[in-house]
Amino acid sequence: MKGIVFNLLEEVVTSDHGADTWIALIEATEVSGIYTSVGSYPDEELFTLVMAAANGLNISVDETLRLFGRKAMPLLAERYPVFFQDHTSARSLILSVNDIIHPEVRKLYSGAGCPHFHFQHGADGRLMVGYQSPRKLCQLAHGFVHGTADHFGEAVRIEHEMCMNQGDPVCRMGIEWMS
Amino acid sequence: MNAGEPSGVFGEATDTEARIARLERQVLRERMARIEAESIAEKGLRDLFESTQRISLLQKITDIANSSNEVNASIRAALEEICCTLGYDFGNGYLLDGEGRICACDTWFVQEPQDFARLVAVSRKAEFEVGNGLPGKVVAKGDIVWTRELYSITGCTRAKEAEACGLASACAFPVRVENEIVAVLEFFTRKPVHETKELSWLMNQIGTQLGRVMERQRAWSLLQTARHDTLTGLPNRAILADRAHAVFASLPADNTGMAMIVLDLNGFKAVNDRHGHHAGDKLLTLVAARLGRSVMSWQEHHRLGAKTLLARTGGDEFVLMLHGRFDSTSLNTLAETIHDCLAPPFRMGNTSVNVGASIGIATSNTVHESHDHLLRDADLAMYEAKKLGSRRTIMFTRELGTSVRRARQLEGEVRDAVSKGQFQLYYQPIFTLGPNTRICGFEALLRWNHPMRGLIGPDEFLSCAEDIGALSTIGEWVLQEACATIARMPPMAGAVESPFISVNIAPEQFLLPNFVKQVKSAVNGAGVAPSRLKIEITENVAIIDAAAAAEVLTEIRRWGVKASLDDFGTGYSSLSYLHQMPLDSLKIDKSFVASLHEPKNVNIIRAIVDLARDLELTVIAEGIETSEQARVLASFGCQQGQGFLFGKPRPQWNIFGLLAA
Repeated sequence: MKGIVFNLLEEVVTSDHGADTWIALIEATEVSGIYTSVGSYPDEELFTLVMAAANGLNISVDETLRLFGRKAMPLLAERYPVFFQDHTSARSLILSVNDIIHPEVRKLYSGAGCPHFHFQHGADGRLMVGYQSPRKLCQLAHGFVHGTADHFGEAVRIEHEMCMNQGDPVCRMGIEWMS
Repeated sequence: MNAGEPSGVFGEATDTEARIARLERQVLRERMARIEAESIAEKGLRDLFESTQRISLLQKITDIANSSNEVNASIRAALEEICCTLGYDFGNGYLLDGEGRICACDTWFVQEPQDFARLVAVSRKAEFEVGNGLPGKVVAKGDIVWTRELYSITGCTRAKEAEACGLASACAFPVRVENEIVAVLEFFTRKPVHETKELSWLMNQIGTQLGRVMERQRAWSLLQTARHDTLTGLPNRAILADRAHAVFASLPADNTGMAMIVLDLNGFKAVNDRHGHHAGDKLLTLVAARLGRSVMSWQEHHRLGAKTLLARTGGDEFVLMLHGRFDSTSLNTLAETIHDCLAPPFRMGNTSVNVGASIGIATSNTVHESHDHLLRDADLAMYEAKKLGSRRTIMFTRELGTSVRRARQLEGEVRDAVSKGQFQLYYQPIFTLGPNTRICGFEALLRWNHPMRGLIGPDEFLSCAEDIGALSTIGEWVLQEACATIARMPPMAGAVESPFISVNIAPEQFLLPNFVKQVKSAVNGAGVAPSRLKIEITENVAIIDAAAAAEVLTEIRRWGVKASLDDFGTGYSSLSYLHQMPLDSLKIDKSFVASLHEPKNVNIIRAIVDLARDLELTVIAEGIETSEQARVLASFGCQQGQGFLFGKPRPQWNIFGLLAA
């Protein structure tokens, strides 16, 4: 997992719960705690941290991931404005994930494995997003989508129609824009 | 200042809270430093990635430019590389026509064809004036154009289609040969384009590299112009030789898979002579077009996968080279297709003309040592076809090669024989028949004293001499030699009339416009009495052109030379022309004499003699071998005879003795 994800997690935790909480999380989980955006770190460390956070917050891991993703979005926008500057809507940014963000990510980190998203345009402007990754982080993606909608001042309803965590071969989210 | 903190900068805080606050500020600074370090590193990585990508793209374009001489293929490959590397959705190429028009060359690349079909449809053959549209703006500006607003481009005709495909941004750059813009490459993309110094540099470099291909193509086409027939636009002999050389070198061990078809027009010269060179040129272009069409239609029909090259190799000679899969049946079909396509008259202004072709075909095999050898075989077959008349096709075979080679050798020898004086005349005496048998003349017979083969009769070389156009030269020599012999002939003991010499004249020689002159000059040259020369012609002369023959005969007979009809009874023997021909004598063919014992032949000879008497012609019989034959013939009224009974043909020195006897 790229260091940037750990950095984002740290920033979310620190801004919501204070620096001590992050230190406590690091020390309680015995992960290294040394993360830089240009490095890669074991996936387990992220899962351990997220699980510990879920415990501390007394919410589910899924909910924690969603929360993290949603709150991470403004931080990403601040740190990487280039990803956002050409978009005027959440839909446009979401659709550009494969074409723009992934190549951009690869520019930074050679060998960065980005999950590939499949898009389907449904009736009434519904957008179906297919996702397949051994990390099964569809809940994080859910949070990112929500955060993206927030960024553009939009309201969305996200539904997990299929999920690898439920034994499905792929994850599929339906995104519906609320007017 | 917080309470508990030291007043000086160098002091240490004593208050724990103050110390913690200070450390926290320090941690924050460290964090900011880390983030800044990360962003510096990220920028470095991004720059490195992009520069590596640019260099790799430029390397690929340079490779394309180095390996291809074909402009469209290079542009197509470059468009694909650029689209895939820089993430553009659609790339399209334009060439400048040198007259201010920028024309799409139907060379393009698209990432997802179904999404951009509308834009591709209006772009692939689009044309712009300088200053109009994206490519026109590039040419006018002489530089790269970037736009995120297609509607802002003057004369942009495709903004609607681009927008419908979701393509808002575009860029285009020029391809240059030295300072001249020769092509434009344009790109459309869904994501907004960002002009950067590095991308501009890259596109200029790509433009320069592709310009090298254009430059080579220009040089090549100049060369091609020199190597193409400017009239028909077909490759010329030099190109044919080049390609044929390469194809021959690529043949498998058994040398199969190549064929040459040589095609020579019949009747072209007549068109040139009658309608002028301009018409001839026009005809050649029409013929070339029909040939091209017939080859294409044959290819489509047969689907054999044979590659073809049609070249114009000479005035009215074309060569079609085939390479690939075909068999003799399909080659014959091709020849038929060509004959058929040339059959309808060619319209030339107000008139229409007909030309046909003679076709020779040769297919490669192990015997062939070069493409040239193959072409020579096809050429040889074509000449054989020509001998048979127009619209004929001959396939080269080994047997044909052998017989033609022999004929060629003979031709060379015959030519030599004329210049080396290897011909000589033999003379067979002609006697009067009846009680007072005596010599009255000689028939001059041509012999070739071949240095290797000895004495050869005319049957073996006359047709060859005719083929090489030496017949008239030989004929003239015979006339002169015969007259010289007459001049040298000693006076005959007790003769009433001096003996004559009869000379056989081939129809081709007889019908020459200057034949009468030839005869007169031979007679005058030797200073002999014209009446001592007799020319022998065959019925063929009358068949070819009876009126002309009668005219010639009248002329030479008025002058004193005698004329005789040879081989009477073997040909048409038409009585209708016999009485129109001014003749002195006729000669009964030896086949009748040889079968004199058959009643049927006896009747024929009697009829001939009766007829000759009515026409006041002297009758000569040839092939008399026995005195009985001589007696019978004399009894029928046949006045003269020749044959082994009276003497074989003999050289000149040997006949003078006969006269003295």
